[in-house]
Amino acid sequence: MSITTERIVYRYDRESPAEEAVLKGVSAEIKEGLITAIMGKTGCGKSTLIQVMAGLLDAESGRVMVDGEDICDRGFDRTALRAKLGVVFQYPEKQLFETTVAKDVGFGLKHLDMTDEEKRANIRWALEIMGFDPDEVGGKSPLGLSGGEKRRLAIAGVLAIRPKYLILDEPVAGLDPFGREKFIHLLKKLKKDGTGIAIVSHNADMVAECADRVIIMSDGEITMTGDTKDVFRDMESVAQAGVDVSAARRIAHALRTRGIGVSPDTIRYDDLISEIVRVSERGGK
Amino acid sequence: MSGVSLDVKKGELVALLGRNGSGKSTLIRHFNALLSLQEGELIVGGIDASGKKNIWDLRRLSGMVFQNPDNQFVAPVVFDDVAFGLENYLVPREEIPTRVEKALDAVGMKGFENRAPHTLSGGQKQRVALAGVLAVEPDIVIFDEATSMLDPRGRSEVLSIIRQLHESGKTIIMITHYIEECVSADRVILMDSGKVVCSGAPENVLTDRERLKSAGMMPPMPVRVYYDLLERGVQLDRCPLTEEELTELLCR
Repeated sequence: MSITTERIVYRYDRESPAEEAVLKGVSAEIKEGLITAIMGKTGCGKSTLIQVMAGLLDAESGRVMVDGEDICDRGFDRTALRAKLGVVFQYPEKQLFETTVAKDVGFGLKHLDMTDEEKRANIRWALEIMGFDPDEVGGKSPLGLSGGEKRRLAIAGVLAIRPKYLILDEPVAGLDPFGREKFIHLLKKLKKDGTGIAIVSHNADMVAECADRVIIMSDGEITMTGDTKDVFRDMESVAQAGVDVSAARRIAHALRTRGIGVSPDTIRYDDLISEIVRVSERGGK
Repeated sequence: MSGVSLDVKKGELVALLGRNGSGKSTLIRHFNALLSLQEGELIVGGIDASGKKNIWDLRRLSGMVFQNPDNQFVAPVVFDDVAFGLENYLVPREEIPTRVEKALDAVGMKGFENRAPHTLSGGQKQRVALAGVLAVEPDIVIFDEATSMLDPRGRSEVLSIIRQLHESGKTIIMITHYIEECVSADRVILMDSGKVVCSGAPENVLTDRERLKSAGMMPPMPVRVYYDLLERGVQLDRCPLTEEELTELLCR
């Protein structure tokens, strides 16, 4: 099961002098139970792609298949898509508007086919998984929370629908290091439960820690795609797309060019530590 | 805020560090009277920041660049956007073009005067936002996570301009969650729960693993590597702050 785009073309300002193709035939796949990172410099088309995937923008040509169904088909039920696919945009905290935390998290459930009890359980679950005590914050105003808390709250609002697919645009920008770490932990947990996750991010360290696969875009096209370590191994191509590799990969590379035999597959922090320990135990260099 | 005392010297580059909700943004919003002082004393460049009487002097003295570049545009083209602040400060009309040009030059955005902000990259947008601040010629420039939404190139563009501003004598206060960006600051101030936890040179504050941890922060990656290797029986000669230093030490 997956979200698959097939040769998606999308233009902004179609048929105007400012017309610009931002997606030039993009075929990508977000698989169930995996975390896929979409990377690329500002303006490469990442955010447009996820909006097309979520059925929020209609492509000029190409198809978007969600679990084998073409979401652009006339007969396709977009409401069902909303219950299946959650999107967290940049600055989700700006989308908080309800009078209480519990109401805000429950807003997306209003039109879903669920009993009140199920809704309440979902709200509790979403608040808890995002690190809140539902009894403590449920009745508070969302506007009184800190920036990081608002972010977590907004994400809880999307999780409350228990989406099968979750798409996040720059979810960790503005979170402190422990907030980022907790968030990575959460993504891994959701993935384990089978959620198909796509994250758009510039944060290569986060991508190295949690993404199974990476898609790199440049100028409206996919230039690289594959397992995270395979993509990050090719540092030159990654840099060409204006994307960073993780710090661990960078250091491993620097050590290798100095003749120290750490593995070129070292992309995560913990792997870097083990590699250095392994090499030093083998006798210095 | 619960009793914050600190002193930033003229020309200093200070990095303000702390977890979400620690009070960093609230603190700096007092410096140019975006938030008014409830209790205590605050003097910015010799100007009393309590009460409302000096608001405009304070705002002229310190400018701020925020996290989201898209929220900081008010005009349809770059030139007008940079000029906007000047009009508010009653800068004589004939002086405005020179001030705008100078500001755009300082951020490397000369030639973009007629561009619409939405056609710019993230880094370019932040540089234009900064030019709008610089046109007012503030002594103090405050960055509130100004790099956190940017791609790698955008980040390094903004960081290199921050360094240039510092060299030109401006006082810089920057909030960042990328602790690596604090390494080149003159001083790092660590905040938690609305208080200053400690303040000192990067090599002291950023290597103090326990204190950072108790304030909800993580040391820079090279520092973490140093301690984690130590625990696994690999001793480096000293604790590195940058990736380059780390590589150097590992190669010994």
